[in-house]
Amino acid sequence: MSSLVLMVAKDLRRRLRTPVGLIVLLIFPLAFAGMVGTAFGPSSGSGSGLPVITILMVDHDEDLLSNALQNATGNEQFSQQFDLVWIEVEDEARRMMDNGEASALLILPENFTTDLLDGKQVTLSLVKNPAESILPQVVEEMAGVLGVFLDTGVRILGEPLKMAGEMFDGVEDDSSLFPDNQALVALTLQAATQIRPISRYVFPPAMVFDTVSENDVALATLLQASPGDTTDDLLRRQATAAGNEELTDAAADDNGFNIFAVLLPMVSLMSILFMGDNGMRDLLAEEKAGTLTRQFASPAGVGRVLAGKIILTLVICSAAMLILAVVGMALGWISTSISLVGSVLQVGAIALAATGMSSFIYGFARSHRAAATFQSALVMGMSMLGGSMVPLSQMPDFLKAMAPYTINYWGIRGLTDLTVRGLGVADVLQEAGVLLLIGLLGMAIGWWRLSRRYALGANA
Amino acid sequence: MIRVDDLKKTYGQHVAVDGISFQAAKGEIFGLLGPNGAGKTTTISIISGLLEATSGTVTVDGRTMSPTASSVKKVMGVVPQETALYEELTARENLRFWGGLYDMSGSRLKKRVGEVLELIGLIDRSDDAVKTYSGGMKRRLNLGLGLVHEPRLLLLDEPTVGVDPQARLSILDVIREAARNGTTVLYTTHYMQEAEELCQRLAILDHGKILAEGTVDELKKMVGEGEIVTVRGSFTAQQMHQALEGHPHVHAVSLEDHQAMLSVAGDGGTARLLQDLLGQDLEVNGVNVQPPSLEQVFIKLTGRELRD
Ligand SMILES: Nc1ncnc2c1ncn2[C@@H]1O[C@H](COP(=O)(O)OP(=O)(O)O)[C@@H](O)[C@H]1O
Ligand SMILES: [Mg+2]
Repeated sequence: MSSLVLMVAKDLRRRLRTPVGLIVLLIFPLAFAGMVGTAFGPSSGSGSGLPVITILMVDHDEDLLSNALQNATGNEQFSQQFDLVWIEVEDEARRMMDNGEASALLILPENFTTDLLDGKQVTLSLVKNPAESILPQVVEEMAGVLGVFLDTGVRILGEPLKMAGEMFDGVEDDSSLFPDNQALVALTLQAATQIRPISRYVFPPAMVFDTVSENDVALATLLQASPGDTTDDLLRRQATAAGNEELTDAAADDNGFNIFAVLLPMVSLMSILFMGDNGMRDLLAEEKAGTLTRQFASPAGVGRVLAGKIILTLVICSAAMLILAVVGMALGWISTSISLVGSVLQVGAIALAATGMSSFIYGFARSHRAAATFQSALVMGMSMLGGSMVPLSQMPDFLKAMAPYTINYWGIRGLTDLTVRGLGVADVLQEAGVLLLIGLLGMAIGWWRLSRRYALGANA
Repeated sequence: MIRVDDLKKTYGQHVAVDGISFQAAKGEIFGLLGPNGAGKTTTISIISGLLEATSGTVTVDGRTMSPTASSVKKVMGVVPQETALYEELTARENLRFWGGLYDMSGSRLKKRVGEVLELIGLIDRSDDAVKTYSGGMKRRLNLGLGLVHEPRLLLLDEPTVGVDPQARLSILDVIREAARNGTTVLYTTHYMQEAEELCQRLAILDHGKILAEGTVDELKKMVGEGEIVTVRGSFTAQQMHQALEGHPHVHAVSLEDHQAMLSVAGDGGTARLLQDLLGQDLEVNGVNVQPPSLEQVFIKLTGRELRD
């Protein structure tokens, strides 16, 4: 028993030494809910009142992200506000700009996707029509938000995306292979159309906009942003530039309906499933380091070492859910008077389910690397179908019918029962029960499969 | 202390370890010397319980070893061929963790971790993250992790591969020190020199079989007690064979066209042999005279050289 405690404590200590991955996974749901909530909340009326904005796009990249962008911006809601014209030749686009045929021109540079995935700074060129004042400004705001989302997305999904990219190398331009990615960008752009400038600075941008147009305060502040800047620096600068008017505070509104109580559970579920992967993926790290085999040779043996990894995953997932809940309450997104017993049950069940799913996948995958890749894809897929990306009520019926096969569905349903509908423990028994079952079965089967594999000498 | 009986491990058709047997006593440093692919790592993996043998047994202090025999595992220290460390943690944290896994705790663990840090010369850097260490320091820590719990049997799989000469010396010193304190050491290597320096007894392993076993001196006697004379030139094996007929004190260790390795016994034997060879019509253009070494033993046994 005590060797299990030792192993989990050792792993947690290692995590705390390199916490970036987990912190991003924690901030993601908070930032996302905050942004989308601010944008779609009842206080920010819908319908912008602006005419349709024409933007010329030049794609020198022609890779994963730019393709996803092309597909995503084709969606209905987006085209109500924007008219994107993709131009093959840059010179022609520039001539059209000179003729005043569009409000702005956005150029995606060569290697946009690969550089972004490699964490290099990417420069997008944005040419604004000097004859117009407001419309190009809107484009710039939107592009800035896009930058933040892509940056956040890349920080979270960079590794799985890169792996996916490697897997599908040679498959030309078939962006239908990446529906999850498109969905993310689509949602991003919907939010982007109405979002406030503050959201731009949740993370220091990895992207710089090289804008050809002067006398613009917002632009000046944006260009001052360098990767070393803290979020605070940027916020302060931005607030000064914008005359402080935009710094809205994300408290619950008075209408009774609290959009954050809906959004946080949605996004948290996706995050927690990624955390499940993050925990089990430690098998890959320890295998590479040789420490996995070395532990197998100790008196702890194969079974206990693997159990330790599963418990670690459970601890990480539980801690993350707890932090999200506490921060959610501190921000006023979640009522502090929700059922305590119900919440503990539901949150614990979610953590177990995330752990069970991950253990199961690692137990059956050909290699840990394959497991990580498959799991990322599965989490994105489940998040789409299960209501983590688009609220279930907004989805077509045939997709709704598939939702109950996802962990997200049961997780979100139980959580919103507690946070939005104010129900008690009796009302989440069904959801928690399903999740507990998934969790315990997944953990047991995953552990059994992994033990068998290693006992047969897969490590040698 | 440790006894290995007719150990076999096959991977499908491929036989990695082919019926090997040996034993080593308390405090003895026993070497397994063999080229890459000889089966050294496979043997160590079976003994340390990472692999199940196809057949044969391993007993430690009379108790049978198996992948689930945790009480036997407890008295063993395993040092893998590749360094296996937690890079984010410090040397002290690494040592404490491994000590803990082998049931050490409290002040006893604390004291022992200090001793090991002293022994492997990392006391000054003990609270820095391992990822800031040099390759040699990591190697020393890798060895230290196998020593924290004062194992009665230490299994070392080529612990000096890719190590600079200074770190190598200090690693060998640490191993000798452990043996002096009563630990039995099973040491694999493909470096002859090292095996000669360190091991009291050793077995020469090739293609999964033990070809010879004994002390270094016993093994060297296999190629004769005198000097080893290597002759190169444009002669055939046949010619050399004939030329040697009048020299009963000379044995061919290996004999090929253009090269012969000869073991020459008796005082002045080498001088007489060379005079005779030069007097005949053999074209000799290079001669090398050495005392016998494990290198020649290996050549005699396998007909091949054992190269680094
Ligand atoms: N998992 C495995 N599957 C198939 N063959 C293996 C496996 N591990 C080792 N071998 C083979 O067994 C033989 C002995 O390998 P090994 O014990 O690693 O040798 P050494 O450590 O002496 O270099 C080699 O021929 C090697 O290719
Ligand atoms: Mg080896």
